[in-house]
Amino acid sequence: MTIAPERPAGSLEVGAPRRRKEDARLITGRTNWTDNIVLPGLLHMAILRSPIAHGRLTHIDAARR
Amino acid sequence: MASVSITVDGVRYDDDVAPRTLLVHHLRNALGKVGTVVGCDTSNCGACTVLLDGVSVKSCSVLAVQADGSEVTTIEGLAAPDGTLHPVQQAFHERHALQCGFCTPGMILSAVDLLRENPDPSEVEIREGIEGNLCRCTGYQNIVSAVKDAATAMRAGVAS
Repeated sequence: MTIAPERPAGSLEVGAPRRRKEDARLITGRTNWTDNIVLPGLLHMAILRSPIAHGRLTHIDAARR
Repeated sequence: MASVSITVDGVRYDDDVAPRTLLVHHLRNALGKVGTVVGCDTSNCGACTVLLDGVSVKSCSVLAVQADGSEVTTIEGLAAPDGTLHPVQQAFHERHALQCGFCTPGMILSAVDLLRENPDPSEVEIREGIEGNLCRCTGYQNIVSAVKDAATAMRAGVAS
């Protein structure tokens, strides 16, 4: 048995390829990715993972960077 | 700090940079050329690929000082000034060679360099040529088709 979707007569969409309108900015480097956004007072975060598998955090020396 | 003079997409930029600054961070943070994205920071994914004097490089693996005196082409400067898309950009659009589009700048610029080296690559050669670029949407099939189409279009363009 063959199942072939029929394209309804007069339809411009069903069964026809469609070009994406969002491509224009994506292929020219004009997409505003989250990483591109800069706001006043923007802070950055980094995660420092413990080298110890199981331990108790007793204090944080914020002066050390 | 080190003085660098880099021409990016046809515009010359003179800046002082810390010697350890990566080219991609210089492009994005100092020059605002945020079309070049950072995918992994570890040289694995190829999303940050740009052309350095016409040759593709992962800009997270090049120091800004290494690009001193060079010309850089990013995805932002690939189309003609009048907006006419590069044949590779056009083929990516027509072949549905992108989904989320994050890998696309690097994919396109790697493909441009591949076609410069080999204007008529086989499918295997295309796959080898872009193996340094990863796509998490797994759209490789259409990317390969697009590069093949672009190669045909560019050869026809040279012939005419």
